[in-house]
Amino acid sequence: MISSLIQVIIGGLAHGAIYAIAALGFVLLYTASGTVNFAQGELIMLPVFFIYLFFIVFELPLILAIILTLALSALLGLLIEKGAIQHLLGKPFLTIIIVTFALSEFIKYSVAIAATAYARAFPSLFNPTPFSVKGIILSQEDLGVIFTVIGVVFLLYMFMKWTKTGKAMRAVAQNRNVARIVGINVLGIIALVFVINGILVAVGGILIAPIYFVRYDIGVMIALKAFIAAIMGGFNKIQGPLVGGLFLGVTEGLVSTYISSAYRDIFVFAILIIILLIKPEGFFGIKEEEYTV
Amino acid sequence: MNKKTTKKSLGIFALGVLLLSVVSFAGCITEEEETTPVPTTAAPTTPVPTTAAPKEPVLLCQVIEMTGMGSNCGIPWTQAVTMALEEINDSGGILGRKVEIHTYDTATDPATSKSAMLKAVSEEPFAILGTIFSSSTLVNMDVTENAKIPQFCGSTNPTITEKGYNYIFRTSTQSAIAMPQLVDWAVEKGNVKNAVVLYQSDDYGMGCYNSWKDAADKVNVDIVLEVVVEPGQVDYSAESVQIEGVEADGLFVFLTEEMTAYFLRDYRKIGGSKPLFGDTPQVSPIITELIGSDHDGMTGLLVFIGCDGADRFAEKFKQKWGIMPDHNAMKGYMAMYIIKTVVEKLGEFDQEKFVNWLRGGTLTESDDSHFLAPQLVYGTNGDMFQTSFIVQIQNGEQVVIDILPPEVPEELT
Amino acid sequence: MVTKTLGLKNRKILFIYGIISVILLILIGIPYFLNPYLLYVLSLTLVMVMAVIGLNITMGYAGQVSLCHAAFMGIGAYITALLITHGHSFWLALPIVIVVEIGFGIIIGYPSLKVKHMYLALVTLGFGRIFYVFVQNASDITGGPTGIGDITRPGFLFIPLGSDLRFYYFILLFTILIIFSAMWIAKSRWGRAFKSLRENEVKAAMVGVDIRRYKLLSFVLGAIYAGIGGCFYACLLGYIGPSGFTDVVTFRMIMMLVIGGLGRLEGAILGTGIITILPEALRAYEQYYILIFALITMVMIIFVPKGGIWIIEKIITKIKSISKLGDSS
Repeated sequence: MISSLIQVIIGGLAHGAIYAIAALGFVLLYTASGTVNFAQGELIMLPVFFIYLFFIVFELPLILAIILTLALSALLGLLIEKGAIQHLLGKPFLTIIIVTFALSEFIKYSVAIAATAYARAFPSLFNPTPFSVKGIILSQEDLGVIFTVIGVVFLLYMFMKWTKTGKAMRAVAQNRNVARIVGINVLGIIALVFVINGILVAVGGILIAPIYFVRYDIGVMIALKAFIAAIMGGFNKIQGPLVGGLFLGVTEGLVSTYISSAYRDIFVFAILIIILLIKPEGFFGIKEEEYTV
Repeated sequence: MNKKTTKKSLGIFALGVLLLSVVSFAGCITEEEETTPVPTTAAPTTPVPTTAAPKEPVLLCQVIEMTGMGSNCGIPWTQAVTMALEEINDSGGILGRKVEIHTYDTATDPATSKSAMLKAVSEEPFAILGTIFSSSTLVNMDVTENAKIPQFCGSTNPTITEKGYNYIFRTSTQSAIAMPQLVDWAVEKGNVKNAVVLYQSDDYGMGCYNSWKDAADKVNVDIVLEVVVEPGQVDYSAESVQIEGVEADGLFVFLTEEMTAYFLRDYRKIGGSKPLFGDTPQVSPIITELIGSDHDGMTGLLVFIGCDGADRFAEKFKQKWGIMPDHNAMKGYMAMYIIKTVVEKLGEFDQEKFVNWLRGGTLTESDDSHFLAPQLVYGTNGDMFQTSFIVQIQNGEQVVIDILPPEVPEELT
Repeated sequence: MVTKTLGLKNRKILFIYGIISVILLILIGIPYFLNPYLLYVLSLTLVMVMAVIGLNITMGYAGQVSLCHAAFMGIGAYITALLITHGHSFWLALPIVIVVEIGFGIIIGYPSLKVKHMYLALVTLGFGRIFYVFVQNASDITGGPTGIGDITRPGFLFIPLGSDLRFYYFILLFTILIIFSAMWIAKSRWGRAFKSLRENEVKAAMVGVDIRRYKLLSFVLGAIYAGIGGCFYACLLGYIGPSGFTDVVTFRMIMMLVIGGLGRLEGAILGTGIITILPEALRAYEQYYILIFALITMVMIIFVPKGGIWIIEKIITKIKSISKLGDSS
């Protein structure tokens, strides 16, 4: 039935949008600083707890809670950069993986001990009651998530294309050494990228709080998907992670519905591996030989 | 010249090492063979003296999933055990001895659970609490059997009590007992002739499914659709569509509390309305707290209910930890009080006598007001038999709609 | 002057052999005094050493990203478990595992010819996940989430190896064999080819190294070692399940490698020892141990990115230079 197909696709897009925003931060971090951030999942989980704390526990007005969550998450990104990452710039890829992995374990279990293992509910920011359009059941929630993420990505795109800082970011992403020669404050840009990642994951966290519930193991569920989305999309254009995430979400939904639920991951990964074998740089990636300089 | 000498010395060295190994190997031949435990009647152990040093604390060890994917089962267990520990020690301990608990994490990994268990056992505790995951328990139960230490596990896999071990005890009804009760009731009172089953592909879900399927086949329930999902799955829109696409009298759900919540939310969203059946986690108040009225209509089995102890426990737990207890918490809590009660009945800390008493023994809430069930019976294989309450969620509340007394098979009394 | 240099070099070799002999004597002698818990931890460490040495070949020597190493180990473990529980011998399982691992090494190594770094990370991660999901769900074959149990330990030339102590020596023997074989590989033509591959692929190709062949070979060797480790793992535990071979386990193995010293055989051994023993040492801290463990790992890597071996070598050099100063004056 076409209507269930469209339903599955839209549901997939909504979940994929979350992967996309996490993947976007991941890609920005990697291209600017060479950091493979295995703690990205936990960095999304923390804002979920922040917004819960501010809005539910402290009962602050929603707008204030959102602003505080974004600010706190951004600050956290900066702290991580200064505290851990700065010492590791230029070190091998594996070293950074281990550090960020250990960091993710530390954050995850600290929260588990402090907040206990139970899931807590968080009210939806959009109206969750489903409505029907020509037989297709939609919810404002799903659409809200999709459009918010697209909006944020669009804003970031504009920022990177038109502002001076944004252009500096792109320069650093392309070639750090040349950027330094040209006079760009590379270390400052790297710090900025961590802050931007903090904001992106905070937006993601606020969006998923009602869907995933407030639980300490959200990071585990999302991190791998974000990683996959980032790689599928390729590391060179901002559309990469967005398309990668949406594609992953939709593929998962389609495979679950029409092929198999239990073996879903096997089919999804098989599809991804085949795609990578055909186009090893991901959707928007550039072949290594094509890099200039 | 250097290369030659290096190679030569390397060769001699290697030979020397191999020789040493062979020699120590040979030394081993005279050592006694240690085999996997053959079930026999428990050999006499020296009871821990109570008269000599009455104030010496008694040690219990917890070997439990505190990290890894089982942590959301293990952490509630430890919370309830901590609560029980405080209560017991505040009221003077067991036979005048304070209780001390050492906790070891298994990381939800069978190999780690074995080393955790070995370490725990090396401290010579009176009893062991844990593990919950069957895949871990099946690996580490050898250790407690060899060490002759009673172990209270939270696992539901049938194999655990089929191995003929003497020191293993469950803390709740296992799947092979609960599922037939559920299915029989659904067929008799719920008029279920054909069913859809939804379960997760891990220890818990598959264990429930296997027992459920056997029970369903026995009473000729037609299984219309089987849906399997990944543990940790959040999005059930695909599964809901599949389920609504078929006709059935009943939908049996075997997912953890959070996953049941995710599922019911998506299922209700597309208007799903098949009669819902489940086990214990599926009627947990945690789900109601998460999704509210979408939970209404779920029918399941509860054992830790129907007595004052259970109500008080739930209230106190909520007060202390800010959230309703789940069935893992209840299992841990019961383990503590079962140990206390049996030891007090015996009047001494004797592990062999403990085991012999409890196997085939009956405990009721009059034995200890903290019990979470009016009555529980232990089979001689370590299985727990309790009164099962068929409970349905109505308007966000657990409403008892039927009561099934425990049926202990002849050979296990 | 030439003889003096030679003398120093021979002394260095003797020194290293001295240390290795001491370690070996400890490994051979100590088990008599260990309780079952410590013996088990030691046995498990040695089994993991086998697998991590394999990982060192793929990632350390050849520089290929492999995030499915736990799956390679799992393949070995499951094949062994299935064969033994169906009445066959461990000694039949071992060669079968090696052959199967060669096959899988090639299959999984093949994408490494097309994709690199992060993309290869994803592909290998994917294989790991595919293995896990398959093993978890195909209950008829693999026993599903509850796995396969009652795996009996083998015998060797009529000597039964069931007891923990004897099986430990059996593991020790094989671990030593594996270490020697890895040392031999490192010194051989293969080892040199791997090293050039890791350093610069383009240069290696220019010098005439068959990149494709050596990439595949590095995966195959890694898989074989992991598979052998898996065989011993199955018999050590007596019971295996899918949760022993998740991507978290692969990460732990990578941690072992990096903390010890990536690319160094001694590093692989040292790191495995640290990561297996450290959590046990921290058991007293109950649930906080994972926080302490994560913190220690982070600090170690941040300040000593080259791994533990590097520190130890620095210490040894320091000691030697101090003693040399003493000598000359």
